[in-house]
Amino acid sequence: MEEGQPIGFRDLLRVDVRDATGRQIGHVQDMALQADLGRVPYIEFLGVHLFWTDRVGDIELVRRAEDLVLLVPWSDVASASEEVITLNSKHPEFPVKTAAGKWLVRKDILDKQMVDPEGSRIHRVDDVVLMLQGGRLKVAGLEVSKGMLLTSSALRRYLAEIRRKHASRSTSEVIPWEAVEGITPDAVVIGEEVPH
Amino acid sequence: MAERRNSWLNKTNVLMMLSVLGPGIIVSMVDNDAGGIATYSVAGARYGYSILWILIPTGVLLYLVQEMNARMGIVTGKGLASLIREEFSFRLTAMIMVAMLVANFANTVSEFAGVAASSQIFGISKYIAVPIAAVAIWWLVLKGSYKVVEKVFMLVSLVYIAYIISAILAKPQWNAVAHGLLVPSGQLNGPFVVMAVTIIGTTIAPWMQFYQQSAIVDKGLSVDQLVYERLDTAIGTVFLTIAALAIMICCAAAFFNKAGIGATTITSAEQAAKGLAPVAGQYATYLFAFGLLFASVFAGCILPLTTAYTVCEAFGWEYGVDRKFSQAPKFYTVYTTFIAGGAILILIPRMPLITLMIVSQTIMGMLLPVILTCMLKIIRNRDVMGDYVNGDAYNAVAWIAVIILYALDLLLVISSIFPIGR
Repeated sequence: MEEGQPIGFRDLLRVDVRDATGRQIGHVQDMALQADLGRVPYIEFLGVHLFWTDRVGDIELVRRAEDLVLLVPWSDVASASEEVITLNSKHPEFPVKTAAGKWLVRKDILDKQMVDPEGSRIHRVDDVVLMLQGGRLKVAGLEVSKGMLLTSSALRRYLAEIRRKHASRSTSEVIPWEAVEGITPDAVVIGEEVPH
Repeated sequence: MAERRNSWLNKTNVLMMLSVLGPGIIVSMVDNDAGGIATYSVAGARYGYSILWILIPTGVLLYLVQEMNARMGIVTGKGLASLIREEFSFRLTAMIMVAMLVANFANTVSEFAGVAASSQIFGISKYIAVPIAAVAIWWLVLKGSYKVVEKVFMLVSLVYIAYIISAILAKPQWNAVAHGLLVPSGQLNGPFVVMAVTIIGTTIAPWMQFYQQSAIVDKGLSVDQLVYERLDTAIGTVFLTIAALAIMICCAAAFFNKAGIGATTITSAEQAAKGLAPVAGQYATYLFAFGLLFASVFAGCILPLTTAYTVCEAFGWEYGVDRKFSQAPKFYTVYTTFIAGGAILILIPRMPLITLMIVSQTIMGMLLPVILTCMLKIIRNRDVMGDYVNGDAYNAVAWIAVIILYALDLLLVISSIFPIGR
């Protein structure tokens, strides 16, 4: 991930997550931001699919649990790349947060129906475009390209690179986050300025 | 007890029930399309009444699957393609869409083949009948509202009575019919098993799950109407079973073990219709052909409509029969392309129809387990279904039914590729 360069949320899904000791503890399952359109849309939480855990927050589990998803504050992320995300904490000493009052990128936004203010369907959210800004990950917009049909993320990055080199990056494929007027359980509402 | 029945059967409930009826009946009746009629005809001609009983467990399986679709559509307000996209992945959805497009298109072509074959029995050239049918169904959906389209579909469903009359005209042995229906029997050989599997595969097709759920969403049914939609699904299943039984009984009475008519010479619905004349009279032939004509036109409309619904839901494009072309251009483009393509292809001489049907049947066969697995996972998800998730017992029965379908389906795919006993 480079400062100012866009990256698809799908490319970060299932990326390995390691704890402070370098041990692989799970993979990226989701990311979350505060459910408030008035704020800068920084990714503030990382949803980690833990392979196993003996503790959730302060709660010691009676027996080891497998396949749990925990929401860890982004402040606990030591480093992030497209290959691995490393946490500051040691497994299972994670600071855990609840999903209340947050939008989960995968659960609430990705693949959801986009509608205009009148409720007419526009398209689905094919990907959520993120961008590294001042060392923090920010939601830049919602992608509506057909590029997701390509099964190789490497090929997608290659194509994006070509578009960048030739300064032909199509902005019409990305709906800027600023155009989002609301997120409901069923749809993402987009403002009137966006062409259908 | 009588008081309770009276309170349930009050005017409001009856009106409510009538307003809900539609998606379940339509999807079941369309299932008796050109391919279905051909399968039931061949089964009756080859195996007589002994194969009738298979339609009873098939009907039960069909109800189980379609009821889950009805419930998912009403509770979530979303079509099956939308749910698969949201609960699974874009790639899985895209793969299902590609498979559906190919299989549904091949099926649409075969429906127009049914129009061509049946119209020729009435002495009408296929070059006249097919374009007229194509334009009529295209115009109906483009210009009609959901309510109008549904009423026309319900009315067309009545043509299946033609098969019941044809069956009576064929003078079946009713004792043997009752025995064949109630006492399971069969032959432990490849061709019989393949025929049984083909009947089940023809009756439970993947497009049905997508259509019923989308139609329910388009109709805007609410949770308090679920009981009526279940009734709609049950009525549809019963009608489908009766129509399929009538076709099998008709062909069993007319062709099975009849001197001079080798059972294996009947390989299509068209041949069955023509072959009825010397046995059951010219009217039986006309009735059978009339049924085939309308069933093909009906399915030739529903299959493109299902495809349009499914693709638009998956990609998030505007859709719905109540929308105008300008409001839902992609929906109507898919619909129009399917109808025009299907009609044009069938008018091309020497089209390899059999190959097309085998391709379609094989793709459908491979698709069904994927779709049923997705459905069973979604319907157990409390986040999606709330209190309307499958209960443990229902879920166990559904999984057993689906596992049986998987096994039969695998057999069907294998038999499509390696045609045992055909």
